[in-house]
Amino acid sequence: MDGLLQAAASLPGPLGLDFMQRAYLAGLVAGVAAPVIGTFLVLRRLSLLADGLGHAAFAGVAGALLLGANPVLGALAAAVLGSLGIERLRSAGRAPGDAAVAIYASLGLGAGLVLARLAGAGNIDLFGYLFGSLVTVRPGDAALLAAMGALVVAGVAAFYKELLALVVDEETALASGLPVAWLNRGLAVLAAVTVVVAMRVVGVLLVAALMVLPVTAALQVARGLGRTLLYAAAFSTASVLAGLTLAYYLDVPAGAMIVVTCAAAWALVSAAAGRRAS
Amino acid sequence: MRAEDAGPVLSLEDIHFSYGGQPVLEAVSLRLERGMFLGLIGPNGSGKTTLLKIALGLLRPQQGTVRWFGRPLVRPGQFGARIAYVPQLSQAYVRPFPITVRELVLAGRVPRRGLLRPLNRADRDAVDRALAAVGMEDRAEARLSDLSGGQQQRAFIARALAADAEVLLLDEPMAGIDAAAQERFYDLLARLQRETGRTVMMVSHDLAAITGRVTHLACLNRRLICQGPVTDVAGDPQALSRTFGDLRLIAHSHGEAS
Repeated sequence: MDGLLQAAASLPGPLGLDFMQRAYLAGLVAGVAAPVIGTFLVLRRLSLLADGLGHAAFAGVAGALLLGANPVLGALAAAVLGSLGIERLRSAGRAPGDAAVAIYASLGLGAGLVLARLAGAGNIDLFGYLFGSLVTVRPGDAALLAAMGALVVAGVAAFYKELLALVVDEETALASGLPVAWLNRGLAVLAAVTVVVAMRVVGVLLVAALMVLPVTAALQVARGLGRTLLYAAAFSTASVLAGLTLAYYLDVPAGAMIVVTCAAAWALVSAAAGRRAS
Repeated sequence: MRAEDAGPVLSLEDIHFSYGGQPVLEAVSLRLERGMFLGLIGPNGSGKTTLLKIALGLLRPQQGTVRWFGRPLVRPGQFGARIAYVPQLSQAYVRPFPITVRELVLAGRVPRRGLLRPLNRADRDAVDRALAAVGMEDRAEARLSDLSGGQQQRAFIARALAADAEVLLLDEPMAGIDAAAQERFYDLLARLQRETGRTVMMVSHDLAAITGRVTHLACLNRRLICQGPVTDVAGDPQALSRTFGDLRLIAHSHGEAS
């Protein structure tokens, strides 16, 4: 413990470092975008969609490495295609929602590993995408991530009232003339964008943590859709900031630490909600 | 008055529907005229909900046509906010489900506003009126998953009322609602129909409860057994027994259930 404190004291504060500033920025963007989309996924019983899209994004990364393209754009392309494919299978009734996700998740990881080997990618490169690599965010990446995060939040804000009607009852929304198919596709695409943002922070294998854990925490205390979104974003950004800071001082992987702080936040909120209820 | 207003609001012509080869509806033709309060009655499994979903375009019949306001229905939601729907209560929510009663009822106003147009003061006023009409003002901020089944049902009715549609389609809306609230809701529907000319179609398996309230009855049991003014149909024991089987049995089991 003493050694740790000594080490912490001898380090300059993380906020003073460029790469940590970019890490905090990317973390905050993902911290807001992930639970916003995650709320709609959880309420529609599609929590695992985040996982499936993360795996699809991994195939995109590997494909981009093979072609020498930008891995973030590769991930985005694969995740968007995956999201539309899953939505198509689900809405056509050809596979239950969870099975559609499982198909794309396993296909994404399998194809990703094959492509990565063909690309001759080292294990270290892949490790960064699988488990996050916040501290390697470059200035250009930070701007791209911020733009994608802004797109997600703006998309949800613009169609908030339609998404409310959809989440309440899809069948009645359809019968009353709302463009349900387009809303579902739009939500799936925004989920894909979110997964790519979150991939940078926690990695494709841990994306679901950022999209689901803060939402399940918010659901225990929030009344109303607006407050659920707000609380989930608050829990998530707090967890990201705490996790990133702890990771810096403890010298552990940032993505993994963030998942641990997300889970801790969830446990705290659950305990508080349980006490209030009893 | 538009030309289309002269004909029936809804006409179903020769509807056939089966689930995986099992016939559910056969040659059903039904007309809903403007200003009618039609009770669609039949025992459980008689195809009432299926027929309602076909009318809304949520299910596609294997044969037959659906016309609303004189025009063929080609896709669900084609007539937008002119038709409001109260589905059978489903308990398929994740728990806890954070949507509040007020948000649910507000969702009923969404189809009236275009994409990217915010809901306004008139929408919020309509929500308040609808909540008052079903006696749920004091539960407006409660989460749906914190309500009893009957309260949830009233909230869903309020959503349809808030839509302020010309036509109301209701699928077993009284399920789980206590007698006093049922009474109030029937009065409200009758008032809507008599005073504002709204057209109402209500699915029910409860003949006794609905007979004194509706203007017309249609009896369904895979086929349409009969339809007409309530006095004609309710006074025709043969038609009723062909719909429900042994009527005394129905009356008896109803007495036990209530």
